[in-house]
Amino acid sequence: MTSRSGTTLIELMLAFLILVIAVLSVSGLISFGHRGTQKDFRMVQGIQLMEDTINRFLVASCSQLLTAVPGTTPVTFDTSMLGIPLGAIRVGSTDYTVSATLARQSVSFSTRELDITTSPPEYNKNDPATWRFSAATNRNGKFDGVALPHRVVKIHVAVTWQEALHNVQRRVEAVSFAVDLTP
Amino acid sequence: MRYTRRSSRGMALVIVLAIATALLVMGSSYLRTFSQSRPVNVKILEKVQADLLATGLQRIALLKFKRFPEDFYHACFFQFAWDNPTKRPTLFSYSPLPLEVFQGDPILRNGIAGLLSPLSVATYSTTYRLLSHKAYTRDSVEIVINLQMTNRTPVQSYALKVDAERFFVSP
Repeated sequence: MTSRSGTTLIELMLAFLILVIAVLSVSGLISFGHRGTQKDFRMVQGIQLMEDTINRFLVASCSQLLTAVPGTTPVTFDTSMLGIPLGAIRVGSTDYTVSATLARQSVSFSTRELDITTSPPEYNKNDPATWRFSAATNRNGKFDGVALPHRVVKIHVAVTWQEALHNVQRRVEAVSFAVDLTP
Repeated sequence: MRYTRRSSRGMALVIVLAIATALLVMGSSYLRTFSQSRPVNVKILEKVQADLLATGLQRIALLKFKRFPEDFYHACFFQFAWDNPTKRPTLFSYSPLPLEVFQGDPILRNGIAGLLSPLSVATYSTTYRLLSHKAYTRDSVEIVINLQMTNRTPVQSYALKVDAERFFVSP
């Protein structure tokens, strides 16, 4: 008579129970990680959308931007303008809202002008040590729409989207300046 | 002679525990990968914001150079003499120096409150440099924006080089 020892039913059930607990835990971990990965992916998409929109504004003609903002009050655009897509944009399975706020920015420049009218007798145009400078002034350097026309437009782009899990709105934004460099 | 047979009872539990441990290790390494990407995304956003901001500030600085090129050149040549102890001007001393005035406007050094709102930037400044070559008949003007987004991030430098040529127009 031979006796063979094997696995009892209780042992099998206990092993199965432990396996189920382990698999459930791991699947929870993976699910949590996957949700986080998707969340980060949406953020990267939002950043790319924001960067793309601002770059389109920087490439656009500054005079057109100045025309779009007639006064000194900032203007927010929620719909496409100058061929730049704004408003609701769907990327993949996520809806993003892109808005742009433009504002005329006053700038004022100061310099020390070379003063040759009251220069000393030692003045030599080839020797900077003999040069005399006037006090710092805003000589013809005020682009404020009064002394000189505005030349700088402040661009503020914001991208928002909704995170479905906790119904939280996320937002990324950036600021830059478009400048009219024409003579 | 007696042959003893090793009992295989309890092996199922050991095998399952080993599999469960392996699964947990894989899951935790996956979780660690995901947790590292979170702070990186914040840095990516800061970097993109800094890049776009610096581009705009460089254009404003370039506007000033285009508006007052002669004042810039005079300030630079005076600065060259000032920096040379043997050629330092003694007739007049200026504080601030002409070049410091040229690059010291509030808009060029974070001196205007709310200019960059809603972004909060720790500090930025603008430096102009004249890089001459071909016996000073041809110049490169370098505009450097030094930008620090927050007090914890390092200062980033953005350089823009512009070729310039000076020529005399006879009246």
